[in-house]
Amino acid sequence: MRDTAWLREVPEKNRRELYTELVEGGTPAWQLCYTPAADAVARGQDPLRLVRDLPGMRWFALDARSGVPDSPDSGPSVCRLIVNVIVVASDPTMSEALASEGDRAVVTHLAPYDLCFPTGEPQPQDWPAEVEVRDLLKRKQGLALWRVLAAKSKETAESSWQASVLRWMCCVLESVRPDQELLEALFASFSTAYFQAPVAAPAATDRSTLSPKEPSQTSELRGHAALLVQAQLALLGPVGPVGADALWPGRLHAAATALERVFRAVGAAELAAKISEAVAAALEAGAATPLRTLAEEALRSWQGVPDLATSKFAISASEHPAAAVPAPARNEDVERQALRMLKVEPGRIDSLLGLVGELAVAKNSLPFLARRAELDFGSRQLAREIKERYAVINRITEELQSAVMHVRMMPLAHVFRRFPRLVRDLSAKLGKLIRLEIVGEDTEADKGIVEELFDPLVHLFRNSIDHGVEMPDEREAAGKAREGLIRLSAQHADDRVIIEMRDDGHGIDVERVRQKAIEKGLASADDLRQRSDDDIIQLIFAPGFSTVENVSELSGRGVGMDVVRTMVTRAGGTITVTSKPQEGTTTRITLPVTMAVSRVMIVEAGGTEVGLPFVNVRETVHVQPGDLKHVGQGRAIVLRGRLIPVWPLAELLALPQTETVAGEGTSVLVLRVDGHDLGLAVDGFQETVDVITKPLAGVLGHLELFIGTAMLGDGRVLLVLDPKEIVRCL
Amino acid sequence: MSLTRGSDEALIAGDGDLDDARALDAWLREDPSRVVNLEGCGHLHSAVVQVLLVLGPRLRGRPADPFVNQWLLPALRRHCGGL
Repeated sequence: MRDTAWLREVPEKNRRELYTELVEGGTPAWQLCYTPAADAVARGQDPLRLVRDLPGMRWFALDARSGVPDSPDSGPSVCRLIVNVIVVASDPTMSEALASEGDRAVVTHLAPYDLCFPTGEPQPQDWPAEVEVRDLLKRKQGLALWRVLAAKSKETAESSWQASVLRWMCCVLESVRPDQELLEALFASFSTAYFQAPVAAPAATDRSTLSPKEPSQTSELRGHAALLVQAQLALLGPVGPVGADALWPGRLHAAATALERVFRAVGAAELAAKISEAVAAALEAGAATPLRTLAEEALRSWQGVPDLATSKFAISASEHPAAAVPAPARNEDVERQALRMLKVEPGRIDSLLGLVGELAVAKNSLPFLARRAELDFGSRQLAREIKERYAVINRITEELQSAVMHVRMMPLAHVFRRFPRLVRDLSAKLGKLIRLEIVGEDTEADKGIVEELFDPLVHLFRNSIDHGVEMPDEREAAGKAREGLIRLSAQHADDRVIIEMRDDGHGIDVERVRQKAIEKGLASADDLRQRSDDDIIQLIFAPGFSTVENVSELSGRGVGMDVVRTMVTRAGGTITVTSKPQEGTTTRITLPVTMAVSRVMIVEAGGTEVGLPFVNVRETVHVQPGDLKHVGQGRAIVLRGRLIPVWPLAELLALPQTETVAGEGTSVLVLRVDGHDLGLAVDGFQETVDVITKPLAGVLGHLELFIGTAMLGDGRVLLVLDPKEIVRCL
Repeated sequence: MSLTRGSDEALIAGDGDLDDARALDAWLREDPSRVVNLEGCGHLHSAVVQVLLVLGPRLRGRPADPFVNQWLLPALRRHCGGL
């Protein structure tokens, strides 16, 4: 028989700890009830030895079966021990020895709900915050709720029922996923002083284990009945005598009528018959206690129902050790999660993102405010406090931002899954054999980025299928498999996602690209001849470049790789192509995982401030005058053995150059652009800020040197430079 | 024999067995106010535990055995309300 009464012996603190452990960890708890045979000791056994070394023991309790009390012949040789143990273990078969004890060692699953029940003596008391708590509970404001409860728990007598309820609620709230139903049940018991574990969740598991004799209907009906009875308990008010309340007799009668009908409905006629008696007694005593007792008795007897059902299923460890393992909690979680999935219109998320962006910008005004407090109002103290507040808001904003970004994330599979068909159709049309391999399609990126990705990738696929992979015969002649391979892969690297497309075709014909570039006059012939093969390959991104003479149906219509590059760049990414003759071509697209808010470093130059994307900033150095070397016409610094060219930013921007004070060094901002390092001599560094960069529009739209403008916290407008354009201008 | 009986305090050394349990049972029944010292005990035999559980004498000492110290003794004390 499953007997949970002894659980009441377990101190609340231990139960709370175990509850937390069970809710947070995946390992289930088992309750072992071991009643050794009466002649075990006489036969020379020592039953406690079987129990003492059980791993994961969380509780141990002893009791003695009532034999013939104190009669000498029932002395030590007759074993009367009852051992109750709670063990946290993945396997209910605790040991071979226990398993061979059969029915004497019964192992049953111990659910977290079994552990949760408040204890203590109810105390009459009022709680003005109860309405607030109900509201917070409804709105699932966990943290705020916890604060209210914790505060109340401090001022409530520790041993009282109410304090126990509060402690339990706090405990439940502290778990990773607070159990809303349990919280509500606990809260209901605060004033009724009668707790019943929520019906829904455990019943769902219990119902599946109910034997056919116990129709689930009855248990459901009892669930409803229990709720009604609880409502009557709440109506009857707090425990203890009622004061002068003119409405009380009416309430009592109302509750009594309701209770009577509920009892009849569930077939508890004997209880219903006692109602009128209880009402009379209650009216006489001026306290609802007789009626309460009746209601509680009913609840207790119903609560026994699921217990009974499980006890039928109580599996002795020896019989079905495997069957005693409950369905993995994970599955349940997944089901529950699926039910709670929310479909949201993308526009709403976008407007949320916009607001988060604005918040990120607005919070940037606090450091300015702090500086004003210090400089204009001379209050260091206030400035410091503002900065402290800023740190908090900054952290929350960042978390909020990443949370919203996370909502917008979607797996690249959304785009990738359209390609198998494309490859199949195109290769069939051209009579080529191509196998497509997709790796890492569950890599996630911002929705906007994923959507932007489709067109460039379609273009790359067309190129690969049309120009890259050869005809089967051609491949065979070259000693390759007849079937070509295109491999599309995606992976995360820090806050960027790398998408790579690789084919095993004949690669890019560098000489033809060079020839073509000369023909098109993209650069001088001399220059082109000197450039490395890798450099030449990058020319395919030049506008209007196409090497294939015959414009095919698929590609080569002049709108080539430059369109791809523009698309990728617009999404804040980079694209590179590498190719080896006869081995194939690899195109690598690197994109930011998220968009919208970017980090910008502010530098001073020529009396003004400009921003530079933080992703390009490698480091900031301060060099002594002697370290700025003249190399040819330009200047350079040596940083860790590498020569880095340095240009004065003010000169590049045609700003008045500030006089350098002799003996003072120069500040150099080292940027990395397209794999190359370059230094910008600036007058000073300022902070980095999170901004939303807006592209220049209207008459300023053609100024390609700038990525855009950004609004700073104090309302000033910051121009953000495009490092790639800087390189082009050099 | 791992049971040493004094005038008002018995000392259990080692694990104990059914004979010890019988002796302890008889000795405790003579005078219920007698004290049992568990300082030097090992794993306590079930029979001895049952005697302690049923008769509920005052228990003294801090056993070295981790199971006895962490689980058995607290369980006995809860049951008997002894010190």
